[in-house]
Amino acid sequence: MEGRPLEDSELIERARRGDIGAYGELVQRHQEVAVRTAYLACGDASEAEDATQEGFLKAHAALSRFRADAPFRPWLLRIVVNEARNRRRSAGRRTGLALRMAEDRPADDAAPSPEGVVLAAEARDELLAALRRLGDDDRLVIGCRYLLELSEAETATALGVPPGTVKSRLSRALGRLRMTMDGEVAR
Amino acid sequence: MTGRRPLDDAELIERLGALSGQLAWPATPDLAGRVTAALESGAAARAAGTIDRGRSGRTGVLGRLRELAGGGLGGRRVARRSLVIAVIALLAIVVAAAAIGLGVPGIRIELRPLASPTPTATASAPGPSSSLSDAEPTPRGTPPDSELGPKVSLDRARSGAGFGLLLPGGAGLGDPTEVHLTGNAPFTRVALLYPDHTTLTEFLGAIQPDAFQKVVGPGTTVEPVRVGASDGYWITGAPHDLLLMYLDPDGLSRFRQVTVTGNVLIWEVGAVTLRFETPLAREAALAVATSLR
Repeated sequence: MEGRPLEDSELIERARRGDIGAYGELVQRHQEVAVRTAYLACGDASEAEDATQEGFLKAHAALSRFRADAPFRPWLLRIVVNEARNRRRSAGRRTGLALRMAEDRPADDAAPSPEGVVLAAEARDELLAALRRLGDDDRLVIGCRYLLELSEAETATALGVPPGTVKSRLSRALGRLRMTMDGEVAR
Repeated sequence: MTGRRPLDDAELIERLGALSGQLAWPATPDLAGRVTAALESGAAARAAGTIDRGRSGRTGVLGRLRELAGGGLGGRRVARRSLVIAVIALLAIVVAAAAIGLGVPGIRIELRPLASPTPTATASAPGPSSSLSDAEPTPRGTPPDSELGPKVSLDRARSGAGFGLLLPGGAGLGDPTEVHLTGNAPFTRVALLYPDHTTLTEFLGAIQPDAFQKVVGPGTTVEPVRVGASDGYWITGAPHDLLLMYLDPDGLSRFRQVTVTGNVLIWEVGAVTLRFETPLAREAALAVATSLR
């Protein structure tokens, strides 16, 4: 009966009963997106790591108050985002300059993929520069929704805003991103 | 390049999706191993005051105290007892040091000169006058309504808080003149306003870290107290700054710094962290606090 992976809800129930291994499985399952979300929120890799670890511990401490029928991931991300924002605030730092391209990214400049999902170098650099110039809040909502591909509902929970607010905020943030890109191009 | 057609939203979103795979995301460490190790050793470590929650160990002894105050699933009662002893032992150190934090979950207290506000704090906007202190000008510690969240009925606050709202018993304070509720459960905060510039704020501190941050100068006394079965702090004396996190109408976290000249009692009851701002003297404030039901 243990052949299939357990659902989050089953792991949470086990963790509530004191099964630390079950919680470890939850951490394993969500740690990558949690670290990346924290990174978007605080802009520093080591702080993101610490914030995520602390977020997982706080989430464990709060499991008894977690609604059993709610999705775990966005609830966790909300705690992680709070932790990461507090660390950023304590450091008095903006986040945007931390975004950069991977050194070992695919050789996309020479051979774009057939699906067209790999950005050409110029377009990529232009977009990245514009993202860096956005305000922290705009970059975070865009990052959660389109870079991490959270759903609107997950983004809303992670950022602690109503779902309708995510829609309007995304719309405004995309508008500002477009204006910023136009500014970059016109330079 | 000028004259190029701007990208529409769909094109922007497609490019963002493509960019995601090319960004230098931080490597994902083995947090599962660290977290389970911390949980497995948590109770014993908390009791011994040797908990190690950080990758770099940068939290230090006082950071550990904050963790003790934060507690966890196991060893919480033991941790609180240890906290009282440790706080008393360390207060002398705190007086001599700068920017040291102690805390109840959701509240960080830092001792440092008021002339060095937290860098991200915004300027305070003085509110109505207050008589919290005889010696100082009296900017009001309670933020404007927009930062407390919308005014609601007491019943609405009870149903929307997501935790058991506590109210003073007896005839001490009477009924709140205003009740405010902000945030969505479990990230809610309820503020109960009473006459004489008295405010009781309640929230789930363990998952709203640093919802309040107090910065107190050398003329301020921070005294560990017992509030019923709970540990807490009684803050009085010179004005202290309060860095308040609140949600703006768009739901974004914002921070505002206000200077509080009155007395503040902070403590926790179960998972709920409480902040009681009052002109009352310590014993009277403690009496109100222990009457909460």
